Formats: sequence, structure tokens, C-alpha cells
Amino acid sequence: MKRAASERRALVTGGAGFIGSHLVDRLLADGHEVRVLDDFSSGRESNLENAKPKIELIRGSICDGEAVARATEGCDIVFHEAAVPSVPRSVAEPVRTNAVNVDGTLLVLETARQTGVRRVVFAASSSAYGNTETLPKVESMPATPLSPYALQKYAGEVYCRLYHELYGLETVALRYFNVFGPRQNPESEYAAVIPRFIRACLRGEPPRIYGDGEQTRDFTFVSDAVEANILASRAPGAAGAVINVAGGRRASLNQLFAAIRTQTGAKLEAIHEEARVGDVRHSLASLDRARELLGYAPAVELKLGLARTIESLRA
Amino acid sequence: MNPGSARVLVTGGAGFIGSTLVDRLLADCRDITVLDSFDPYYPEVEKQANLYAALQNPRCRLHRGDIRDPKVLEQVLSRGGFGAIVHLAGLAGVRPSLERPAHYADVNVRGTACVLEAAVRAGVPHIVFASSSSVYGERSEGPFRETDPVERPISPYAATKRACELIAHSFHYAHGITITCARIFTAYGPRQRPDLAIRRFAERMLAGKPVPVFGDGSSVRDFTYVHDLVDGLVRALNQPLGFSILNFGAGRTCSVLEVVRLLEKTLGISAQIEWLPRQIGDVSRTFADISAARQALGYAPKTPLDVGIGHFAQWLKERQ
Repeated sequence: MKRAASERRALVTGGAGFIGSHLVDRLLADGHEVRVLDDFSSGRESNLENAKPKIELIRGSICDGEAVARATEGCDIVFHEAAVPSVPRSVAEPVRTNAVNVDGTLLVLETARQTGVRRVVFAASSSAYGNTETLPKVESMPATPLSPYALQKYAGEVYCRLYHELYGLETVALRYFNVFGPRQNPESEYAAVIPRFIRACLRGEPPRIYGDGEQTRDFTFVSDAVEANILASRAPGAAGAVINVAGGRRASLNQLFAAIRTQTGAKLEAIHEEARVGDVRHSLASLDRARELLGYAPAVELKLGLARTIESLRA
Repeated sequence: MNPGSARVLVTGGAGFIGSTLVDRLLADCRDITVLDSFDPYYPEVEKQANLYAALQNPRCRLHRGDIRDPKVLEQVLSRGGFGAIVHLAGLAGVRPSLERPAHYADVNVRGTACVLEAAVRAGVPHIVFASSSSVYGERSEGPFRETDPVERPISPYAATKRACELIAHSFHYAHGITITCARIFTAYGPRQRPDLAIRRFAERMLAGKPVPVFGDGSSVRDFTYVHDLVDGLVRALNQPLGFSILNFGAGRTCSVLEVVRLLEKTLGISAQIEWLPRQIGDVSRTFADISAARQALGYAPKTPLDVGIGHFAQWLKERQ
């Protein structure tokens, strides 16, 4: 029985966060024993409302060696979602965010190696690509990070690859493209575009769009990102790989705002402001590698994902 | 309504497979209405326990009612916004269907027609229906393919499931709703129905009672771990395929006697076997060819039988 128990024990770092908490819910639904390591710096208690009685919660930082060791002990798989997840914040505080996003990730990998974890799935970021000349963005393109955050996430995935090559720890880095959905915090000063637009429409306050709004993004509904994690945790050929995770279609911010305006019934015009330095112009993922190595295919269309997100922010 | 809409009605959602599916759909950010009659085939308290966690979630609602009552369905669906129905409600069990064939036909066949009729009326565009491997009848060879003839069911239960598939096709043809019929091969795992083999064996072993094995124990089943099955059902839900019938099995077989041996190893108890004559209505083998579901949906069961039985045994011990 011991073997079976550890085979299904999973650690989610940042499990109280937006993506992490959805992953926790899914792992529980799949019958796993779930441990969460979170310091609640950006994670929220309410995200774990349903899961809390069923999980083992360790309150601590990924920078605290003792907490990380306690969290990884006896786990078969680690989903490393914890991070300071913000480009502007990394620009404001490059040193502090580096300590969490790079040193913390390294500590998770090193501890996982020492405690006999089989596989680590790492939340990497599409921001690693920077402005590529051609679309879609393919994993074989060189990384050109444009912000400390992008560099930190990129460093994390290179560490993942090294840990696989040097120590045989199975690692998979998933480059997320603009994940959105319920529980994504609309209040934060660094809120992502979708919750920001929805909140604005629900409150009747015109949202700001930086630039002409014709910049495009590949938006991923959170349950698809979670599915990719589940697939990455067991796909035999994925160890050591970097893999795009996306919705597989792109929408401009103007189109996005129009869709949200229609769905919320708001009658607003966006305020266009000057483009932000460091913002990527266009983004679209190639999903060939995800399909090939993981059998991944996005299931939730943008409009439907928006409907679910709007509903959750209304409630 | 778009088939990918968040809101899903799960009939029979308090049962073994239904409640496991509901937990998964909630984790997928869906919004769930469960319709269940709490048929006394097995104790209601088990079904309440199955749904306990799901009902803590504000995105999950429970309606108690019978699928054969058009008013109930109309009321449930009147909330609007349903993108799909997963229709799992029905009378289960091959052997009891021999005792009450008319009742089985009424609940399963007429009940399914009622669900489909209500779906069309309410504009729900997509249905996933729980059919059964028993439709293949008595077969000496395998694996079973969806294109194989299925004209010779050997139990009323199997016949009702096949009849439902045929009615489903007629609704697809007449009304254009998309329907995937999932032919389910012997699901097992946590929350398993108390009358099903693995659970019955385990409980009798833990109680020190003999384990009844029908026939010579050589009959084989394609045992499907419930989370693998649910993963397939979610894929069928997310991806309408017009009208289609797909096998959901593990794609490998195990004899009943081997299952007893695995349980002995897992529970650390040696079983005393009570040999009983083969039962009418029970097929001697089921074995799924799962290549169609793999190709159409990416369905990929992953749980080895010993691992699945380990998880099941742990659940059984925890609930005792």
C-alpha cells in the first residue's frame, strides 16, 4: 500500500494561487493525495475553500529550505507553480523577484532531487520568447526575454533541463500563454488583461488599453492549462522538454474587449493610452510539440472561457 | 446554446461514475446540476456520501427526481444555459434485470427517450450517454469493435442499453443534436457500487466471508479504472462528434480469479472461494478495442489494474 500511496501523492507549490488552486482541485478529483506549499503572498485562502479539508497545507515559502523539504518528502510529483507572477513587479523589484523565481525554483529542484521525487512540472512562461519575428512561436526559437520576469522564468526552465540532464530528475517546463479564468485576481495592481476588462465592464468604468489595441495574444483557459499539467506529469517522452501550452488561437485586445462588452452588456469605450515599454506585440503559440509529446489539445474556446470567468466575477 | 457552455446536467450524478465525473467537472470550472432519483438499488447514504464534497461547491446543485417525469426535466432545464447533458441515470445490473425486465425497459429506454426529448425542447445541443459493453453479447473472441454486430444481447439490461443507442441515433438524425454513446467496460475504483464484483469480493474478504465466484472463474473482464473512464467522458463532453459510439475500456483483460488474487495481495488476506454455477445473463468475456476513442478523442487509460485496485482498497478501508 505504501507504494500506491506515494505514487499518487503530488505537491503543488503555489497551490493557493490562481492556476495552482485549479490544479489542486483537478488532482483531488483524479483521486490524488495533494500537498500544497504556499506562503499566501499572492495566493488566497478562498481559492482553496473547497479543497482545504482534503489537502495537506504547508504554509511556507519556496525560499525556505526546511519548508520545501517537508513539502517534497514522499511525493512522486511536484507541480511548481509558485512564483511572483508579474512582469511590472519584476521591473520594479528585480532582485527580490529573482530570489523567489530563480533561487526558489532552484531550491525546489534540488530538494526534489534529494528526496526522490520522480518528476517536476514547472510553470514556465511564454514571455521567454520576447518579440519573435515570426509567428507562431515554436519552442526551438531562441529565447529573448524582455523583462526580469521573463528572464527569471527562462532561467527556471534551463535549470529544469539541466536537472534532467545532470541528475536524471524528470522535468517538464510548460510555457504558459496568457492563462485566464475564475480566481484570477482582478484587484491586483498588476492584474492581467482579462480580469481587468471584466471588472471594468461589470463596474461600468472604462478600461485602459495600452497602444492601439491591435496587439494580439494567445489566451488559454485555466482548465486547459491544468489538463496540460496532468498530461505532462505522466507523458513518457516529455522529460527534459520545454512545451508551449496555449489556446492555439489569437485575439487582439480590441476583439477581447468587444467580446467581454457583449457578454456583460456593458456600454463602454476603452481609453487608449500609450503603449507600454517591453510589451510584446503579437503572440501565438505553436502547439505541435504539446500535441506530439503530451497529446494536448485545448478544449475551451475563448468565448466560453470568458463566459465562465465573467460568471465567477459576478458571483 | 453552445456545447462547450459551462453548465452541464449530469443525470445519475450521485452514483459511482456520476459523482466521480461531477468532481472532475467542478475542477474543470464547469457549473453542474445533478439529477438523481436515489433509486434504492443500493443505499442512499452511499450516494449522499459520494456527492458530499461536490455539494460544498456553490457551482453544484442537486435535484432529486426521476428522469421519466417530464416536469422534473423541464424544471431542471428551465434554468437555461445548459451546453450538454451527461446521461448516466438508469437501472444498473445484469442479473437483476432478468427479474424485472419491464421495469428496466421503462427506466432505461423510456427514461432515455424522456431525457432526449427534454434536451431537444430546451435546446441542449450535446449528449453523452452511458451505454455498456454488455451490448456485445456473448463472444468468444475479442477485442470488441464498435462496428461489430450487436444484435444478440443476452440480458434485458444489455438490450435496454442497445435500444437507447438506437433511440439516440434517431434523435441525432431528426433534431441534429450531437450524441456520443460511451460503451463502458466494467468500471471499478473508489465509490464503486456495492453489488459489483471487485467491491463485493473485497468486502467479503475483509469480513472473513467466502467470495462467490460464478462459473469456473475463467470469465474475463476489461476492468476500467473510474478516473480513466471519467477522463474519457470529459473528452466526449468537450468534443462533439456528430453521432458516435465509442468503447471506453482499458484495452486489456483480467480473469475474475486473477482479480481475487490481486485483492488477496493488496489486502493481505487469503480468500476462501465459494464456487457457484455460471449466471444467466453474464457474458463470459468483455474486451475493448479502444483505438476509436483514442483516435477521435485522445482517450488514453493509464492506470494498471494493481494500482487501481490499490487505490480502491485504500478508499474501502478509509470508509470502514
